[in-house]
Amino acid sequence: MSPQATELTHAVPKFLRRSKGKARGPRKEASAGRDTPLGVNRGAVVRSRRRPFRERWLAWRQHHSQSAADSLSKVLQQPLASGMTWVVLGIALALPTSLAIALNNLQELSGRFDDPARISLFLEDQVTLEVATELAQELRFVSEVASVELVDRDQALIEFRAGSGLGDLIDSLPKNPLPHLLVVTPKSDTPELVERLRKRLDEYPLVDQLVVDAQWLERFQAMMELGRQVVLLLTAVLLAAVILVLGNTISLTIENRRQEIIIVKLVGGSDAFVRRPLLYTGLWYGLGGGVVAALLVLLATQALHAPVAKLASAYASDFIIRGLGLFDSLQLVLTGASMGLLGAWLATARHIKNIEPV
Amino acid sequence: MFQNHKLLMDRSVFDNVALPLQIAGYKDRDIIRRVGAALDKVGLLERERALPMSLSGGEQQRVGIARAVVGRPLILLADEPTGNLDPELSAEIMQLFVDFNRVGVTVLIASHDLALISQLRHRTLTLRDGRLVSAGNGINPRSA
Repeated sequence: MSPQATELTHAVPKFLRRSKGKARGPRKEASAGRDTPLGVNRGAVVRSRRRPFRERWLAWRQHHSQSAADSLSKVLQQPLASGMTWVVLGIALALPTSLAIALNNLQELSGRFDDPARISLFLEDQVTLEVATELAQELRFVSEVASVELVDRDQALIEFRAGSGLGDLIDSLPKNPLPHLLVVTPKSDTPELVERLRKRLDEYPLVDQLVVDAQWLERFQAMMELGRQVVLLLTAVLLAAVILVLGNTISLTIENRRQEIIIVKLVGGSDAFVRRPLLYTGLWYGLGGGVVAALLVLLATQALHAPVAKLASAYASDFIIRGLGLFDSLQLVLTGASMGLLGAWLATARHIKNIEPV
Repeated sequence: MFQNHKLLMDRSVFDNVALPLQIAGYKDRDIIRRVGAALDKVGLLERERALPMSLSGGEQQRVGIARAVVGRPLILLADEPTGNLDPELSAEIMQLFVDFNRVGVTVLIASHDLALISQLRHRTLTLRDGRLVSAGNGINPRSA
């Protein structure tokens, strides 16, 4: 054994005790370094003994907040580049969001078409107005029925004549070809109830023909469903684009900081330690993108608000366009943030392992 | 300790020296104290807010030394620590190593500056083509 080796047992650098001012520490602290053998890290710096859990936990949190602040200031230091990234992400997030809003508004609008499922009862030809009125009255007491409207055949003919422009043809007919019509509105729209009511009404002897007026609504709903699928698909594609854009941005950042990463690894920084500020960078980009997206959607709905209200009033409707609420906007921002984190994670997982000091 | 200082150029001297402690998970208070002590030892306490870019080569090397000793190592490996310094600075740096050694740190210096090394009057291991040819102090490398 060399003389140096024997000295190792009390190897406490005295300069730490001798130094002046704020550098002076309690003696206890200075002697803490004697206990365990050391792992020697590559080349130069000796890795310190493992700190107590509580201390490491505090340091971990400290490093998190520091990484967050550092990466934010780095992002803000390049306003143009960061702004571009935010806008790109914002547009990619705003597009599917706006489509979803459009669909929701259409859905809302379709809900305003009242009595969506109506059953039209065309009565037998010989039924008189009195009998039809009686039947209408009777049907109002059926449990599944919400309301019954009687359309008088003569009244209907006058309207048809005015509306169709087939006046001459109608005049040439020997008698009114239209039957009396009862329009029955069910209490609810559920297919089972409508079907039950249909069967029940079909049994009335005076009913010649029975038509359920729900087909157009079914078609509309099918189209809405298709629209929803398209939006879903588009959302998936654009979210993938967001992740890739961010992954690429973070990859470039990693390449720019290659030297820094090597140094941090040289003095013993783990992959997680290196990754942390980069993940925060991704988070900030994603968060900014989410905010831009929320603003874009807000602007778009604000811009459309007046024209839509005008159109609605032309149709004597008080329909107004509904944009994103506060909660939905927050969700959008959070989506952006998580996409940012995910993109950064993918980029760091790929690159950081490969950057090793030689 | 590295021949080409390997400092983070966009962080202050203090941050550079604090890095190993941050990685090891030290408390803020301890970090401030220890970094102060290490910088004091290498004579750079007043420059702790400076960026490495504004320091001379010798000062940068001393920042590297401070970073190497801030974790209170038992062994300090120095790879060509005086590689691109003038003789006066080199002697200063070597004196630092001697000081560390005096307080119990084992210092292993790799250098080709034989004149400088011989001044230190410490054990010298000689390598040629990666093989140990002399272990100093008259000890045969094969039996050591």
